[in-house]
Amino acid sequence: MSIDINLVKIASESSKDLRLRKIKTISFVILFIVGLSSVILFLINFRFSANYVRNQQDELTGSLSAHEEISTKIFLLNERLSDVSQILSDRKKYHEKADKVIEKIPPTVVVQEFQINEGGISMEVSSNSLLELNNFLNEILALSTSKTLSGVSLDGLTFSKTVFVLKLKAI
Amino acid sequence: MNLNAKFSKEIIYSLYEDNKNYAIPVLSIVISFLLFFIFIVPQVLTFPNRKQEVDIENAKLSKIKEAEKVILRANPDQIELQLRIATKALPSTKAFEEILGSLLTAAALSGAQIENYKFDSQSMLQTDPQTTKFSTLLFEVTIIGSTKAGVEFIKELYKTNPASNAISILTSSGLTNVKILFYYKSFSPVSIENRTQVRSISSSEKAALDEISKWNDSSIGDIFEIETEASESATIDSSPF
Repeated sequence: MSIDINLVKIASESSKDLRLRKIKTISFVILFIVGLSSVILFLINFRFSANYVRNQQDELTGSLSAHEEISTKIFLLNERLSDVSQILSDRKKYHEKADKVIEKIPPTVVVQEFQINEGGISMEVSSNSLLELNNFLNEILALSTSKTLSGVSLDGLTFSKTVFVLKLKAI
Repeated sequence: MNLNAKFSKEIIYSLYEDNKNYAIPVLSIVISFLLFFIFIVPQVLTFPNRKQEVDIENAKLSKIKEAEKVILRANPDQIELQLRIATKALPSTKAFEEILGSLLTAAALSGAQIENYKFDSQSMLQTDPQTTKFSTLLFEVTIIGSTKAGVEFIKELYKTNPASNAISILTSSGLTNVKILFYYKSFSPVSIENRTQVRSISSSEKAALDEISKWNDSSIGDIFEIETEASESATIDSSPF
């Protein structure tokens, strides 16, 4: 009986040892994995951190300080050319539009007043010939069709003594 | 109470004796959990934000490297010349002399006769959207002649330093009045950060540089050498000086 009891007891202890060994192994493996992951994460964070990049920036900026004069001039050139480019692209081309309009004026038609600005074109022309004024009006309307002008409106047509006076607005 | 306490101690001691072999595995598992939740999880959760920050810094670093290349490749004489050309087109101060020169040059080259001119540094500046960025001087030039004369004058003016912008043309009674904005902008202070952000000239800036390189020089000395007819015939209403 006692031998049986001892045998049972021995079997029970070895199972306990086996379980303990398994638990130890698993716990150490977990600790190893977690520890290794932490170290790897730390190294990744250090190597690829914003501070690491900032240090590189500082080193490079320091090395450029020897070229202070030329870098200042290049910066000013960049800035100035950017501004000039903006001015050139934004400046008004009223003279081109005005040129296209006045070249359509027949010799017999006299320009009394011509104005072009942000509000568009307004003009007053006169002629002895109504036909010439009509031809001129048609030419201006053709400019509207060809998109040089986006709209033409007749402001007035009057007759005074021997002269016809035409008032136009265009945008 | 003492008896209970002593009993509890004995129980705890007994439990410890029975399970002391599990102490180290349990401790290592606890440490693993702590490491996982205190160090690894926060690092993983904050990774996107940190990556964004690093990306921003890397972009800055790339710009500095680009600046380094530009600086090391630059020809100091050429940069000096280009800067001088650009500053003629957009002066850093109220360049009255150059403006007067440009008006006379444009008049001389276009054959226009200037009847008078005047300038105003304050009025009508709101009409130009660029004035928020640049300082301007508004000049009014009256030319004897038709709109065509004014158009030719502006064509030449647009090819003369400093940069200008004709914002209005008015012809009446044989005279053409042209309102012109002249730009200027002072040099901004250059910081270390600015110097590390220099870059190559963009295609639009290159085109602008090519254009202004061909412009007429408007220095007064050269103007009178080119043509004196227009300036002699012009009646100057008011002087900016």
